[in-house]
Amino acid sequence: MHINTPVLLAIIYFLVFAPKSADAWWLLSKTDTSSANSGSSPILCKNVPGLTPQQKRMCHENPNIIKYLISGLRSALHTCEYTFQREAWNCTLTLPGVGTSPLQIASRESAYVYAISAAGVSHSLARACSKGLIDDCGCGETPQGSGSVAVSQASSRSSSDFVWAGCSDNVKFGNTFGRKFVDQYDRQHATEPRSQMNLHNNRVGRRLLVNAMNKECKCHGVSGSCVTKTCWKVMPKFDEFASRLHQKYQLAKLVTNNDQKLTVRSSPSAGSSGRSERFARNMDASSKQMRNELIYLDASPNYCAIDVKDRECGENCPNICCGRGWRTTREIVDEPCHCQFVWCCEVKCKTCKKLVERNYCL
Amino acid sequence: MAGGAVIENLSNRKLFVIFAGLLVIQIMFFLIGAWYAPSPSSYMEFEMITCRDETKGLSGEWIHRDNCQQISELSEYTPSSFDLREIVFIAKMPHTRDGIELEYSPWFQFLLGVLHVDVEYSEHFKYVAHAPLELEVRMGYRDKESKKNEWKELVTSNVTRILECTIAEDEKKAGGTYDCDMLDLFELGSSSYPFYLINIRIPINQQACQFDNKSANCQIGKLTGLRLIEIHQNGGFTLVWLWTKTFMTPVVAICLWWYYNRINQLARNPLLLERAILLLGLSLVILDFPIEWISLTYRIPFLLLISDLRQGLFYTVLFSFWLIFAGEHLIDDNTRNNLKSYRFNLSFIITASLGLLIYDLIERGIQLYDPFYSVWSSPTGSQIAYFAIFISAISTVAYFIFLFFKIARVWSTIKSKRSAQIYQTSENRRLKVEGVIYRFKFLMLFTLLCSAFTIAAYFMKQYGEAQLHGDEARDGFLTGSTSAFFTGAFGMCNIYVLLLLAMYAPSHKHYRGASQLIDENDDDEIMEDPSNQHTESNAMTTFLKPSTD
Repeated sequence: MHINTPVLLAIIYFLVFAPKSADAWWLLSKTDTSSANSGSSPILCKNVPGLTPQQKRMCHENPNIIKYLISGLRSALHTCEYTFQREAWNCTLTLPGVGTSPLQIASRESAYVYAISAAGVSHSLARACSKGLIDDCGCGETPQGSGSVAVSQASSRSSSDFVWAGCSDNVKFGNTFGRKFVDQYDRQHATEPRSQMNLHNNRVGRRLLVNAMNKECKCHGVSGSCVTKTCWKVMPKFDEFASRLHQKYQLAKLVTNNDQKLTVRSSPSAGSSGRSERFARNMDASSKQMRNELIYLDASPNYCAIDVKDRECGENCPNICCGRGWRTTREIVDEPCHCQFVWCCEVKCKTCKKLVERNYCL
Repeated sequence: MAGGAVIENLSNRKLFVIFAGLLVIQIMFFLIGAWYAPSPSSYMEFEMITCRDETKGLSGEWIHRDNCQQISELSEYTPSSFDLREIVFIAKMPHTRDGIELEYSPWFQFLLGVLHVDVEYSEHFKYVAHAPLELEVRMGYRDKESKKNEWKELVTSNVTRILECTIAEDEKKAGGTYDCDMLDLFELGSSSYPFYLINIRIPINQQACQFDNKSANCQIGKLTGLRLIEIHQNGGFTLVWLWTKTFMTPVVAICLWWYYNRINQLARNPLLLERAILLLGLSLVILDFPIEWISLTYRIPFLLLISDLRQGLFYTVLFSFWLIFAGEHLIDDNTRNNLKSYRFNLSFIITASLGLLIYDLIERGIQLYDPFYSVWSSPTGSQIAYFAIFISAISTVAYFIFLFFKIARVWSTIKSKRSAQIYQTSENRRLKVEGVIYRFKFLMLFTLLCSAFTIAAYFMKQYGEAQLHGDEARDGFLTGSTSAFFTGAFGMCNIYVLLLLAMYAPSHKHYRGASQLIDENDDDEIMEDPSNQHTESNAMTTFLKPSTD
């Protein structure tokens, strides 16, 4: 990959499909991070149009963090494509047939993409923190850091806090930085319903990520007893998180804009009589019940309007091909087999031939 | 015990004042833990960075973040050889945070590392249950003064652990992950170096694998990464803990000295029970003694072992004391005041403590030389460990069964004596028996109260911990409860022994010459001090009133 092509591509994408700058920061995912290694990331930030001045400044000041932010964004979009590869909308952000980027429509697909991107950024930053690759990661809140003076003469707060009560939060940094950078545009336009929707979905993504963390404990009392025990939280694998989010995507709630407030019609249970319909209330989208739900404003576009010819459709052909039928081809593919005993990598294996069936839309 | 202990001669009012004072002190202990101390321990997570090292570690060079040729995705990496020593997992401890290079402090007391192996499902490199995992670990340290990447060798070790993983059926596809048990990696009994660096290699011997696939690292599946969790005691907690100990040591020591003088002033030899209490006090002074202050300036890795031993000693003496106390209050048993008559029951305590002592000496003792040693990692070692702990557990259970049996016997004796009222004939003798009963009941109640408090605090701690790590609520009411539990339990322990020393010391009001607890040949001592009796009601009499009426 050349350095300039993706940036160029990004600009083209932007000009053609994203006339509004709300989602401009996504274009970062199209940039080449390898150039960021060589210290040219300020240029990278300049080359993505549509970033707000604050975003540009953050990008310029924290090139190292932006590098991981971009890789998180990229892995989020990659995971999105993987998750939706067997559905009509395959997480493409450019739909030639529809005539506009799906992100421009406030559909449930947009909601999903915003949530997964926000979470992907947090995830990637948190991992970089726990790898020790970002020096600016925070210490996290110390609940009782008040009396820290006595312990250490270290002049800096962070160091004495660490001695006093430890430092253990990685996700918080990811979430905070992610929020500052990603939510930047929408926070400036917080009165617009679309921005409210984006902010909400970003928050849902981050919160789901935190909630998906698993707790692990180690007992280390006398003779290994559980009198003293230390627990920590483990970041889930991103795939694992993505499948949770996919469930939320399917349950996403339609909201309406009421007087600059997004409200959801609490839907009466299916098959209910008209009687309970009368009691259906409008619920604030920021209410507690909605804190973990994705929301959207508009119906999804008809994804069947896209040209799906030659798209591989796997097991879900009737849906993906929109009733246009499909063909099955048999191919012989090479697969690695009889490999060496190794625990990690791509190593020399023998090649075996295997017959596979593949379905393509007509 | 002598016919008159302090407790019997205390007025109600005095007793109440003492109890109220102790309760206030106890609450203070709790509050210090809850408000001032941070949680006892904290952790730091290190996802190890994978680096490429063409020299395969033969050069002896340390691989660190700044000379690491990073492998971003292990599964896409093509190694140039098959023993995979060219892949190094590294972690520098601790992390840099907020742009400041953090340092480990001697205040941390201990440092232990837990390793998490991330194994992915793969058709080609299958994980087999109980796969032996062998790691070549190098641990280096750096002083504050030395240059940024000038690492010195601390320990090099070949670590063998058994990798235990499980996987759900529906995860058995490419990208599915195993759920693996964490592995104990290292335990440092002191943390006097500010920085540590760990280099881990996972070598694989192709020949050995073909010859015997049970060889190390042949069946560990497809590794995607290593995560290291480092756990240490919080400096803030150490500070609070040390100060409470420093504060308590002289108090207990003075009290012990006073008690020792009291029994020395007696005309007779001290009784077994008196000696038991003395020993209990002594073991508490040993437990309290804040030897840890030294570790803040000098490097003493065996401190962890010593503090385990001190705790073990205290509990052994405490358990023995309970046994002797119950036994000595069997009024009609004439085998009293003789340690030999307790040897059967005491042997349980000795066995239990010996079992734990052996386990601790092996585990912590060997860790002094090799911090990466774990008794659980080898089959023989874990058998020994299991055996020692099993024996201890059995003995402890047996001990408690016998203890409760003994207590029940004391109760029944008391009851029968009461109902028979046989001692009513002699006023003096009656009072003596009542004194014995009172002393027994008092300690029983007090012990029950203390254990109830401790158990309640323990559950509070568990609940607080659950709250702390719950989904959303971060600042619950009980989040500081873990430290409160420790300081509270420590305070309880001290108060318990202090009260024993004070209350069960021979009273020199009347009984300096008293010889034996209940002499069959009654002497003619008069119990009550008239002035005392008439001005204040005696605690003992009110305490016993409901049952004597």
